[in-house]
Amino acid sequence: MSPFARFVFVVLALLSLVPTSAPAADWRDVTDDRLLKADGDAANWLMYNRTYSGWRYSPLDQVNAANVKKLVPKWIFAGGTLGDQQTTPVVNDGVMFTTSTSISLNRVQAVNAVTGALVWKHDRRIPEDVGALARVIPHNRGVALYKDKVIFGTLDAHLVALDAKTGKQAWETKIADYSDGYFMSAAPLIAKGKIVIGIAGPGEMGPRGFIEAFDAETGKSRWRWYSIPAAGEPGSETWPADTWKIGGGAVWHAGTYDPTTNLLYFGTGNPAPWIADMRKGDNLYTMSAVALDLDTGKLKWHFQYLANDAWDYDTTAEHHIIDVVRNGQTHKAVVQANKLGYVYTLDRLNGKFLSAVPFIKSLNWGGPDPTTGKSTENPGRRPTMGGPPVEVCPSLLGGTGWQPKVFNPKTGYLYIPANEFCMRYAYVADLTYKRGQLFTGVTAEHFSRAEQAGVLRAFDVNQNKVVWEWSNRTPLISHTLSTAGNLVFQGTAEGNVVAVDAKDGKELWSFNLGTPQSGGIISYAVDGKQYIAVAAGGTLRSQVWFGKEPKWADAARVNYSDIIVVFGLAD
Amino acid sequence: MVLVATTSGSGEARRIRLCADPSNLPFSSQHATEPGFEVEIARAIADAIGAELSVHWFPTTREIAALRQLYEGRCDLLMGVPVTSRYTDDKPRLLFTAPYYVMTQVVVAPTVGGVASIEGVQGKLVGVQAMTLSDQLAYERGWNRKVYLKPEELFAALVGTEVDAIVVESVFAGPFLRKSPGFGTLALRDPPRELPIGAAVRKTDAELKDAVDRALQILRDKTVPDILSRYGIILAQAPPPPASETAPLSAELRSARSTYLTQCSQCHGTDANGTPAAANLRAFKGMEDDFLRVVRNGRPGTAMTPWKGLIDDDEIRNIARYIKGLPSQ
Repeated sequence: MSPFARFVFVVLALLSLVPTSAPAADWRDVTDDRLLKADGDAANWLMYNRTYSGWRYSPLDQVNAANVKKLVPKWIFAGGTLGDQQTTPVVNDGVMFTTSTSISLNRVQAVNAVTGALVWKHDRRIPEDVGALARVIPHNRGVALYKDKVIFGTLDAHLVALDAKTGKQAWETKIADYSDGYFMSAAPLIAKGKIVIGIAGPGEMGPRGFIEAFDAETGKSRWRWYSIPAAGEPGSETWPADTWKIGGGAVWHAGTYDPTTNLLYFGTGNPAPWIADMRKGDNLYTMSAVALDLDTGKLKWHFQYLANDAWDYDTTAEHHIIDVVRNGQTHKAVVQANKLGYVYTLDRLNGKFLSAVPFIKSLNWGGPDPTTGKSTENPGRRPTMGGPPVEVCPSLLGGTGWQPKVFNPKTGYLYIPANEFCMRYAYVADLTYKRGQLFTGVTAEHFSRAEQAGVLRAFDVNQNKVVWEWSNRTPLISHTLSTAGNLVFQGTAEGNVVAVDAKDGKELWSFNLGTPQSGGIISYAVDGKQYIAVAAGGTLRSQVWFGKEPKWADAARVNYSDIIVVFGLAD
Repeated sequence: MVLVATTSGSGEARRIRLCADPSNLPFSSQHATEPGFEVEIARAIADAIGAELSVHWFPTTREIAALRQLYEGRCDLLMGVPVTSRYTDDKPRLLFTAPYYVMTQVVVAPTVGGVASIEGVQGKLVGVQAMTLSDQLAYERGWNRKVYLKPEELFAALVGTEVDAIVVESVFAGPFLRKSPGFGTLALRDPPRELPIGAAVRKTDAELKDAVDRALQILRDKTVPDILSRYGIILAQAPPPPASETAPLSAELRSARSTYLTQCSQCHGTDANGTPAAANLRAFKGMEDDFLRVVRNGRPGTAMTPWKGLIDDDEIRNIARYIKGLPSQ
């Protein structure tokens, strides 16, 4: 038995002594200290990526490769909306918090994590006049917990805190003007009493992106860092004329945090519009890894993955905090597998480029220089305005997109839900900026020459190479989880959730959810019993983006239904 | 740069050696009076770069042999190669320039008494050249094919009424139509088979590739279209999307096209014929006022969101007209 497993056993034994009654009565505050030590709190899933490191790894091993065949659904919870379902639930001592969205609605619900019974529901009505993106794909990726509050971002660009026991609103803070197309989709990250969250919208809508920190007790703003420098600031020379004002650079995905460096690590998104000719220059700090000081919001370092992005390849995926060992040398690194189709390893102290290795085969845009990491593009992959479509691989959903990658410290593998697909991509002829409308200016149709377009790849971060793969017919715009039980769970757009062996990728179990798997997959334990929770319901990406590829047509017809399905071992 | 790159003297005239087939009109020919559009475009490129162009004449019937001329340095530039990943991915020794035109397929039929629409092709006898993209297209659409080996035979069959229509690559249709009154084309959109065509250089000649790309940027607006139209190629070619109309659009419809493609096409498709998530707008049964109402208010319970306040009413009406004006498929 591994030390981890022994530890979990002890935690479970302790938990089982505590009788579970109404969760409100038993509420245990989620303090800074508990968040810092979240990894050791095996029974709970206290934040979006479970730990600051971004690993999404559960140390629970009661469900494991030997008994996973006995996994059965224990309860199903219907969220009750028809928006995109991209939430990752969190769990504190037997209470699960989850979000749902639809046009004009942000919903947060507290659920008994053993029975699936609703504890409370909070609905926030969203004004009808929000920008186009918040109307077309209303979505939310989940809440953060702090002390006795549940904190989330809204489609009308507010930050809201609810009482965890009742769901009543405690405070709200307006972050930005939603008429500009700003909204919040990411789950907040909370560390040292600060709520840190990036803004969604700018990459498609135009206005400047930013990351902002708020006091976790009061919601008051503490600092804001813009992903695009204003005129005169360092980096502004990479934007012609006034283009920086509508240059995008959303930071729409949760960051990671290293308490030892006190740095936050975020990936920034694409510049706007998507027509690169309309903003000639490197467009700093879009398409970058950025490290910000948690206390001040000052930029410590940045590394730009791709200058003057032409394809919406935003590099917003999480930067995993991993100490990698290469040639006997340990590097304090951040590792990002991103849309560009490469696994990048950077020194997390100074942003120095260490390596980049491709993890997909459908790749023709170009690639990073192996020594400097600076990208060079292949010819003929940029469309011209009003010109014919160009075939570019991967598609704008990327080699892997926002769907989290997960890292298992026992195997040393980063599990990457990857895609082998391309797009026919064209720029429109006459794009102008109109406040509130999409400011993208492209058409895109996805296709794949691969029989199996979705490929879960295990990437050994120390050997710096792919070690096994498990494949699926349609692209994997779904989630992944790894556990100490030598398991990796993977969802699919067809609506399946599959468990494979973490060491070799052998398929061990699967279940048809009846709706596309599109939200988080987490694991937690209550009363000594381990559960796997799968958020599903679909995202426009699976229906719209796959709709033009005939061989995916059947998967694109699977109905939406906002649900959470929780599995446990059969009694 | 290979343009006699052994010396670095900047004062020396650059030289580009073009590989071209001596007898392959309309692409290239040794005839001084009708050199073919690829030779003419190559000349224009060389002029723009300020280089001197010479031609290494070599038959291109065997692709491998032609590519070998380039690999082995007997020429520096090969025009007329598809710049799609299907072609370029397995050519690691080459670099490819931006495309300078798009080869498509067209249906050619007599203007009187022939085939009046694409739907009308079904049930007729259609000539194709064996093993071409046009052949594949006709086969996939289930058309009644008669197969010929050479383009000349194909055109002869059409003129001799052996077939009712032919499907042919746009480059061949143009020259035929110019000298054959009484024949016309039918618009055909088949994006997967549209082939962007560019030029190839050796991998080690990145500088030449960049120079050609820069030259093409300059030549793209006027010189290249002029050359192509002299060979009838623009004439025969369905204009690439999003400019999929036959007549030039008014300023209102250009704006509506941009708005449609940017705000709507992700769900409803570039050609407005729908996806599993969104309706086929070409099949919209209502009047313009109905279209306006649905776009403004959305369709509750579906993914169709209200666009009220984002796109003004006049623009929504123009979008309806833009969609109505899209060519039939």
